[in-house]
Amino acid sequence: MKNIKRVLAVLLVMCMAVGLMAGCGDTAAPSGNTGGTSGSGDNSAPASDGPINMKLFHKFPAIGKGLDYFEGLADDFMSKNPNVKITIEAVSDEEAKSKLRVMMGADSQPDVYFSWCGEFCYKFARAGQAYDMTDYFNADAEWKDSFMPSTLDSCTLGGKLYGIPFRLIGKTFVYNKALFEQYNAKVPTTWAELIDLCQMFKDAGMEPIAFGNLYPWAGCHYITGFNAGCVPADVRQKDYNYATGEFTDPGYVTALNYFKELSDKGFFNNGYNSMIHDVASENFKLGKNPLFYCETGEYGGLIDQGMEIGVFPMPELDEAGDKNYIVGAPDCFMISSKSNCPETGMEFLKLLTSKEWMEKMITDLDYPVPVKGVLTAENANAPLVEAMQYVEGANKLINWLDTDVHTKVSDAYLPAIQEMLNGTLTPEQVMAKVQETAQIVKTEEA
Amino acid sequence: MKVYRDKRIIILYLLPVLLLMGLFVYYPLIQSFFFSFYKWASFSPVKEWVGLYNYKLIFSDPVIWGILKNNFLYAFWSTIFQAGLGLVFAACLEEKFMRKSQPFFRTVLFTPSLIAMSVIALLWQFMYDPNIGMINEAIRAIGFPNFNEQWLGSSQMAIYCCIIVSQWQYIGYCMMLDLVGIQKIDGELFEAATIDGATRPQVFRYITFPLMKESLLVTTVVTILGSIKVFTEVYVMTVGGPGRSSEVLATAMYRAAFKNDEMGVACAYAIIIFIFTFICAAIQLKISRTGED
Repeated sequence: MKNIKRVLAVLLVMCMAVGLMAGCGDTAAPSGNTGGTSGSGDNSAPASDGPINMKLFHKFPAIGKGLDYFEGLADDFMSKNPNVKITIEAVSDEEAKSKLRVMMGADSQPDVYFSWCGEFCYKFARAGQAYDMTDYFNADAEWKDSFMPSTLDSCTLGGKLYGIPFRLIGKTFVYNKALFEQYNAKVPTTWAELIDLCQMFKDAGMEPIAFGNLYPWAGCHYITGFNAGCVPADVRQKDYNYATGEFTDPGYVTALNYFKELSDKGFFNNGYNSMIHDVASENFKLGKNPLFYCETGEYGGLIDQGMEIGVFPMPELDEAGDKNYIVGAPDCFMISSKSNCPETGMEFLKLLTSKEWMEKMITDLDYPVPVKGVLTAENANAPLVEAMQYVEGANKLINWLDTDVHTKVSDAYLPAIQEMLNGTLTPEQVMAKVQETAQIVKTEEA
Repeated sequence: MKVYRDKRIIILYLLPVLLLMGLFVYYPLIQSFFFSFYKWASFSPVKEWVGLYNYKLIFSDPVIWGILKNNFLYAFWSTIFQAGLGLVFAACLEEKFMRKSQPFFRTVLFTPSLIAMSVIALLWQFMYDPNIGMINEAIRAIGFPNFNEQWLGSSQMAIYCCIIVSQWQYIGYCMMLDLVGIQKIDGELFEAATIDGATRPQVFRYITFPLMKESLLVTTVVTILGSIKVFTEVYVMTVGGPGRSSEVLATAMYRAAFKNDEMGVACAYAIIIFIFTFICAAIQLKISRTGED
């Protein structure tokens, strides 16, 4: 009897353990969407005949703003390559930054993944997490020549290409045409004119510029441009490189002072440090603010209810930095170095950047594209065409500060800017923090 | 039951949970401890031994004192409101004149603790909005037309705004725990005190409070542990800002891990959080002498 009890006890314990383990089992289902239809086409993958499972990761989870576009693209690719099954995962902008890092660390890398250009892309390349696309890309001269050359530079490190640009984002001011007409306002071409314009709207009882800086990347976009205008390009380039960065040029303080001037004079809306960018965008749409500094990719959302907007770039500054530039950068897709199907991924990206799908990106999503000759007055909205004239006419694109410098430097810079706008730090104190962090990064990386 | 006297059987029964605890709690904890001595990013293939550098980095940054201050403020106000006021609410609801309406107030006060913190944080974020938020609007409506507090956008106010949200959510939860404790107290004690002429505050001071010490200790420790680990409301409402003014240990850990690619520093933060929570739990065990009765 005693033995039977023991045997039963052992069996019971084993059952409990197995039950618990079963509960921890992998039941992961694809978090994105899959699907496919049959058909035929030109973009067939050169891979083997066996089934290929490819994971795609992007940051467009909203319907009408990218989710359905990428589903359609995946369906098209799968119809042309019946042996390929694409699983899509889409998360929002902020989440994408952290999730990508986790996925890379957890060895669950997506085969093809979204990335910002510049340092954000380079750190994956340096860590050996990015597939070197150079040979495959160079082998197709027609595809290679279809891109605006400057957009490829932002994805190139040490002469090797690690990303394929698919969207070109520029940052400009947009203005409410109805309000401009009502107040007989003119588009500013100099900093002084911008200040006068804002003052005029403020005197009329309005908050001139819609601005939401809860997530401080919004403020960072201003500083990206001001730094470019106030700091000589070679100094900036040296400072943005984590191995040589010092940030001691007085132009950085001047840049912060330009930003502070807009805040101190009350040209931004009330409560901007506790407001998200999307709310600021809605306020602009409601006509609460006549001006909004936003990305070209946001125009579609601003004009979808019939609002008429005009576009002008941030006025040039009479300082030591660059002239005739536009803040902005392409977004790109990278391929994991651990992917089992990098060539299939490259073919997928070739389809994404084909004329057909680039045109669709313009018509469906109102996003400008880095492929030459696709965006026209016929397929793009008027403000986008206007903005692209500024982008194409600019001497250079200035990449976003937060994705162009080392993450630790960015993490010191952006919150400090928030505090400067709140009046708890001076521009000099902000730069002292940045200099200190840059020094730490330099020492650590050395 | 003879079976309970056989230590081998007891160990056998405990084995599954010990295995799982070891695998999912203690192993990661020990691993975090070792990883805190390395410099590494989540996506980096190499880990570089740096000794105590990550701890030195944390404690040489003046931001850490602001972070610890915020956690301390969280713990202090949470103890006052959740543990202290929760007990007062519970005692009030147990009063005879409140008995009929007790279920109503119990439900009203307890319901917030059932809602996900992320949802609550988003709701409060709207309420704190300086332009259209309910709080500023209400203050303007009662005769202060120019009132314009920035709340979450203010470096001084942001942390208090987060603390208020936590109190609003959990005061009812602590009250429920205390209510159960009060209901266990022998009613004759209250009756005897009343016959002897004790006022209601005196009854609370000399009977309810001393007999609720154990329960109060539990709510205090739970509250303090929660304050050390607080993350969601701060992250959703302020992301630790403006600047780093509302940063707490858990958001600093998240920032290090997933924004700055410093997993070693994040592990060091995790160990610091563990040490604080462990000390609090140890003090609680010591004071309450759990298991000795």
